[in-house]
Amino acid sequence: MEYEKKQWEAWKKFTELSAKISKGEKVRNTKITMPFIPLIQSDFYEFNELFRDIVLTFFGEDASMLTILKGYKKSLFEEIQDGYVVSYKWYDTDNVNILKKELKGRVKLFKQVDKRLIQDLEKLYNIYCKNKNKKEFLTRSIILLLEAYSNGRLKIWPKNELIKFADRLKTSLNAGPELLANLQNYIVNINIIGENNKGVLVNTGSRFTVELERDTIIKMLEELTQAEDMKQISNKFFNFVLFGLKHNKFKVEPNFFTWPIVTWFVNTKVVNLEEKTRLATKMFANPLRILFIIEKKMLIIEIEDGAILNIKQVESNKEELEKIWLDISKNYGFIHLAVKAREDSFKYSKSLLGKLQLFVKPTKAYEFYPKNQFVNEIAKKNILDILLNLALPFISS
Amino acid sequence: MKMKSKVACFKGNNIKECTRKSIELLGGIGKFIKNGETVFIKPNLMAQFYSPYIVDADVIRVVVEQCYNAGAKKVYVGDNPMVDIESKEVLEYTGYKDYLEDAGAEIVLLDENRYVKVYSGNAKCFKEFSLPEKLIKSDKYINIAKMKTHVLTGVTLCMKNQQGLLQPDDKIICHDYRLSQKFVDMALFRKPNLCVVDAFHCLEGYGPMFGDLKKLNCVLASNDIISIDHCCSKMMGFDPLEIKTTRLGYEQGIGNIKYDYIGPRITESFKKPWFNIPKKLGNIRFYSQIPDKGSENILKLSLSLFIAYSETFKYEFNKLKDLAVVYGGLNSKIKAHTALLFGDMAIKSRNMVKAKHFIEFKGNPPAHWLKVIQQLAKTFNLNIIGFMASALEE
Repeated sequence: MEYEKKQWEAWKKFTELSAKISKGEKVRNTKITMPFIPLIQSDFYEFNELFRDIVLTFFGEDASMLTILKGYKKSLFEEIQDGYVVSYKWYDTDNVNILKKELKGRVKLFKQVDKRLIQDLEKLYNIYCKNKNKKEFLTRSIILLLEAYSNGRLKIWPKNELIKFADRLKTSLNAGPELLANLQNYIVNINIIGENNKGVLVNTGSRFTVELERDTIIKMLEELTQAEDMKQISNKFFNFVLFGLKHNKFKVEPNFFTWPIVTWFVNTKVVNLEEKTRLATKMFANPLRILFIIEKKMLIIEIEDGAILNIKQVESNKEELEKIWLDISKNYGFIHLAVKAREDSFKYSKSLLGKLQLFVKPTKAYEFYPKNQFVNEIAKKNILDILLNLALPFISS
Repeated sequence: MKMKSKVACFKGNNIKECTRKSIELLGGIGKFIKNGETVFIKPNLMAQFYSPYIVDADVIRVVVEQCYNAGAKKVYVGDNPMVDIESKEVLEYTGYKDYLEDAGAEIVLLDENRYVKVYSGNAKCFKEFSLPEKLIKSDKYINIAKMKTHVLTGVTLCMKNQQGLLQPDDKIICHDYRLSQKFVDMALFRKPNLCVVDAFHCLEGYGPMFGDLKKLNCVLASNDIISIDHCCSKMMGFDPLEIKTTRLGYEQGIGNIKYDYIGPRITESFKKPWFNIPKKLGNIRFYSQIPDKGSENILKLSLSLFIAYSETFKYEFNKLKDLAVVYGGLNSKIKAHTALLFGDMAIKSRNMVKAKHFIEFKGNPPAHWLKVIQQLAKTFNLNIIGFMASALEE
């Protein structure tokens, strides 16, 4: 109860402060409160900024929202014009009918958060307080919110594009639990660049920061809302990454050595990559199970019809590639291809690429097993380099 | 006492567990393998690719382990892949050899091992052929097939899987309208003691090499080669007696089409592999006025690749110069820029063709269908030798 009380006070304070700022100083990026979930502790201030930006994109610059805290007898009504909170009002009830009557059709969007969801979030927060793992907290929170949305502890109505996306993601939960569980391997910090080139940094605790334009995020969300299932989501995300790289839509900091390779490859070589990967994997093995070994970290990527189906971090105490392959195959199922980044070329590339990124060809940076002739053939065409390079940032982060 | 025909099926998320459980449901491996026996396992390992084209390594590994658990003295694993592909390429280069040897199996590269001439007394068309000595001398024989569609036989299951026991010369014999009878004749000589079908990741459409993935997530086991083929083709959405190997096998007493089934009810509709050679494909015209079934079959197998992937490549056949493909005899004259004469019968009709260039595929039928694919690709201006390589390059 102490936690909830603290959250409630923090939320109230934050809302009032934001409204004050937006009214008084007209700061463009702090224009709307987003009391979606109680993540207003100072560490998570950035998450609210992100939510705000995304929500504004979908709900428009003029909106009126009602947030109901089910079980707390508290609600907040906000009126937004041109992206600024022009007025807000607290209500000491969580009864939707009373609120509807009171507000007489002025509400454009309803959000209802159940007390039990907040209690579950509290448990996650307590774990975070002990281990300070931001990425884990964020991943588990996302999964929890999706589950809450699925079982009605979080309700949003009427439906809009964002909710439709959540709907699709929700139905995909069963299809790819491992993919979601591994989500934290993919989480990077995001620096959102708005219209005035001012960045909003979402610090997730990753080594890497991806700089994204607000429009690019919108485009990505629009793309993802079209997806039918997890397979399509990963496919579309993959396309989005390639598109972004090709058109310099985002930057990655620090300038990790693989990214110049990927950018170079995208600009010069990658044409219809999705189709080619699909064909390659379809003809070779479908689903295809590749084991990547980079600096003693191991990851099995399962690709079906060219799209990533599953990603699993695995372990083996063996040293040689052939023995690792056998050990992992025995314990996790047969591996079609084990790819190990050679440490010498790894270091060599790292030191050189800053200066010579366009001239260093990423060949022979790895060894692989088994020595299938088909693999030899595709290795000549750098397909392994692409896969390896795409996997590197994730496995290293 | 003769065992009643039974088919067991286990569906799940783990392929190893499915294999183990399907054999357990059948009564356990101990019913088939006794202490001190030698076992020959013949999986479908037709090419150097992986599942869904060949049997998953984990299915074979589990069967090997089970045989040793039952007290087998020695377990051999061997297959003779498609013509033009060496066993070594399939078993060694894919990692299967290391993986199965780790479980105690002895890998037999059939194309490097001794064969024994055999005579099948009741055979109708395939009376004399050679079989691996290791199989002849083994006490027990296990047939492990992959659930796939096949452009010639509809499905490829345990009956069709026997083709991989033969040497290249025997493989092309009766590879025409007698193909199904050939497998019945082989089964008349030696039937497998245990049949397993890997139906975890299956192939539909233009199988056996160029189809699409279909997931059934199950493994089947049976003591009867006809029963398991009947059951599998039914699962795949075929009329089981439409499959000639099953019908002929049943009629000639190889096995039963009435059997006890233990397992979940599974009915799927696999994309059918049937297609007729078109009369026209872009600027390519096809002729066979006097049928030559053998050449037609091999051409069909090769052509299925182009048909299956023509959309993926978006290859424009229209860009080709006028090409006539002849795969039978001709009784009227034809004209083309280039003529491709497929098989001895087509070559005999050469005087009926007016063309600037001729390409001939000798044989009755031309046996080396991978070479046929390569030659066709060259003719169609596609670099199929590095098939994937060219696809990846641009």
